[in-house]
Amino acid sequence: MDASFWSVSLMAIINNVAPEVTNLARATSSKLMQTFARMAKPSFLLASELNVALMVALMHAINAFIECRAEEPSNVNLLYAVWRARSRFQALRELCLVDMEDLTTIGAQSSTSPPSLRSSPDGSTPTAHSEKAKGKQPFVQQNVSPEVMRKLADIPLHTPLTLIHNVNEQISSNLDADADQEPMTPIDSRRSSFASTRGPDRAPSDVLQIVHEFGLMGIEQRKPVVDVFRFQKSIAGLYASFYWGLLVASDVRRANDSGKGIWVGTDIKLFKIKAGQVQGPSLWSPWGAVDAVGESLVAGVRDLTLKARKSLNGEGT
Amino acid sequence: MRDDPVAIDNLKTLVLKSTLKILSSRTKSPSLTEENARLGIQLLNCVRILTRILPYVYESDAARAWEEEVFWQPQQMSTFQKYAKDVGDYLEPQENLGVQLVDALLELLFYTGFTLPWSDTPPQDSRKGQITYGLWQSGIACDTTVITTRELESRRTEIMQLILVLESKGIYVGPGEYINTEVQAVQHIVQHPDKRRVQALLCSLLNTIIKYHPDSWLPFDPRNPQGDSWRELHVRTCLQFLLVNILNRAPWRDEGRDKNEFRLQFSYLHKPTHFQFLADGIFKILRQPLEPSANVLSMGLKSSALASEMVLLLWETIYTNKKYRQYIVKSGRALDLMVLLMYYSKESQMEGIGRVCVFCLQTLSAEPSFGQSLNRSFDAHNTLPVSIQVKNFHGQYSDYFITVSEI
Repeated sequence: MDASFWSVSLMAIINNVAPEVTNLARATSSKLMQTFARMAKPSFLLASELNVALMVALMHAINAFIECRAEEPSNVNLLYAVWRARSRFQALRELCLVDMEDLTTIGAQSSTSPPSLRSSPDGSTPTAHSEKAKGKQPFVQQNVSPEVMRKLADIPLHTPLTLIHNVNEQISSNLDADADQEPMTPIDSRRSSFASTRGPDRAPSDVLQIVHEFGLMGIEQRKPVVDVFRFQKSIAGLYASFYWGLLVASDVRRANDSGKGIWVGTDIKLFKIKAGQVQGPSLWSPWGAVDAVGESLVAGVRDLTLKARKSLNGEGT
Repeated sequence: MRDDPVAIDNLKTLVLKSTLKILSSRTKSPSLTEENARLGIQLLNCVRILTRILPYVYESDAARAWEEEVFWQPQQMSTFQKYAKDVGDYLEPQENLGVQLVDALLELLFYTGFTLPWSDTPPQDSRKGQITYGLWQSGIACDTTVITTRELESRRTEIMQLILVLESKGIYVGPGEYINTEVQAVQHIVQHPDKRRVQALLCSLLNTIIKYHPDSWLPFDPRNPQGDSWRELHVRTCLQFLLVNILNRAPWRDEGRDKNEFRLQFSYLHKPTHFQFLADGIFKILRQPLEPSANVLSMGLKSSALASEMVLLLWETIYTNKKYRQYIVKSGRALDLMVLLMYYSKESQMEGIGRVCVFCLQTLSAEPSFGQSLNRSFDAHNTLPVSIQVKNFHGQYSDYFITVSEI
């Protein structure tokens, strides 16, 4: 769970720096796409609202790299990586488009592969396969919650899809032009390799050039949207329990070393925090990442005081 | 003892007698100094007794209710007269006992000859201890060197510990109630009417913390494995005392009940020399585990002991003071800081202090120039500890951050 909170915050940070960052390396761009691919799997995405929120945060961050410099593309490696991941983006779009009834069945299939990868190129939804698939799956994940479904619409896919469309179009038109000029070339095999969304990729330098020149056509440059860290009242108690936890832990250490402790041995109630006992605003509030902080801060304190107490009682550290 | 009514009564007597003794020695005596050493020792003994006992008073709901009433509600003089006949001489009938105790302790932290060195001017035989606004250490708001001794520092430590105990009453309520629980000692200190007192305290604490050089007390001495533990304890107590006061109440609003004079005064700092002083001191502690000498066992342990508290102070400073935050970014320190914060995040498995590191990063990232600075090539990557290296890395700081954060 905590890994998710960590991710939400880090994506906010990446979103904040993205408008200023240029020349992102190829490896870094691939890394971002690997994260996208991992989170786009229906088995992950449909599992909880939090996961959809993570995907939204990731897409905001990726879009910030692209949209805030649309007039002057400066992260061509990332643009290229997005185009390379086109089948996943298209699959995710299809997942977001299917209606409620379909979602239940997609949930059932999710333990294998994304259903949209099996969808036909004409854009038909995977519903046709669903009954058959349902019968075959040993693991059936029922009831994708309506909240999760509603949240899917928040995933901002317009920019990557536009980019992918632009590049595909340009590649096709280049091909047609090539075909016209070079009648001796075996057109069919070449055409299929470029037109197919799953075919082998064209030589990167060519595509890089296309991505750079045509990728961001029609995408409007926008101003950065900064995700500012805001303290809110709901976590003040948790934060206090954290810094008091540090004080008490160092007191326990001192008692351990010198026999002189202050709070050691008294019954401190602030740290008796059970999961779910503290109710903050939900993760979906505007400052969601902030209150997510609370629980993990507390986990830190629990751990800290527990360790300190154990070492005091000679149970090892 | 916790359930014995006679013992509880004795405990209350001890608490009140000790409190009144502190109040009397502060106002009745001209001096707590060498000439009057007995009084100073008595006073410190009372401080120790209260430090030891009050946590047990707060722990019990009944005893805490008693403390609330006797210390923080107006009382008749007669209530106290049975514990000390002369209370009329030094007790202010209009003021709560708790407020008077806190004020006495704050003043005792700035008492020449007791917690502050003598100024050079008066001849030795005519010295008279007094409460001043002098600072414990040079640095912010004080350019001249201040002499300090083990005795002065140890006394300050003990007095601060008692104030911390008075401020710790909130840890004896559950997490849900905490935010609505008023800890009067904290409220009184962070909204203290004497702004100069707050300033002297804030600057003394900051200067002491920032000027601490843990490594200059090395090398490790096997005959004294704790090292100069009194000084480390002094610095740690300063840091904890500062944190408890400056962090009290989240900064969502700077007025009314949530006003915090410490935070407010800190936000006024603006001189580049002060910023440099702060940044050097905080980074010095945080950077220790990343330096080659961190292999020395004793030093590694020492630094990690203060690092968590220092990360909290760091966050408070960059969150509260916008100019300081901009200084950190524009002076080029933000890149080092980003690496340090990633280090502490990883070390803590992203829990607890790791979360605070992320608060820091998010706060820094809101500065556009932070994003720009990430475009610099990260050439020193190979010198990082293995835990935060990226395999086959070459690229900019932005590449490093995205890769090492493992989103």
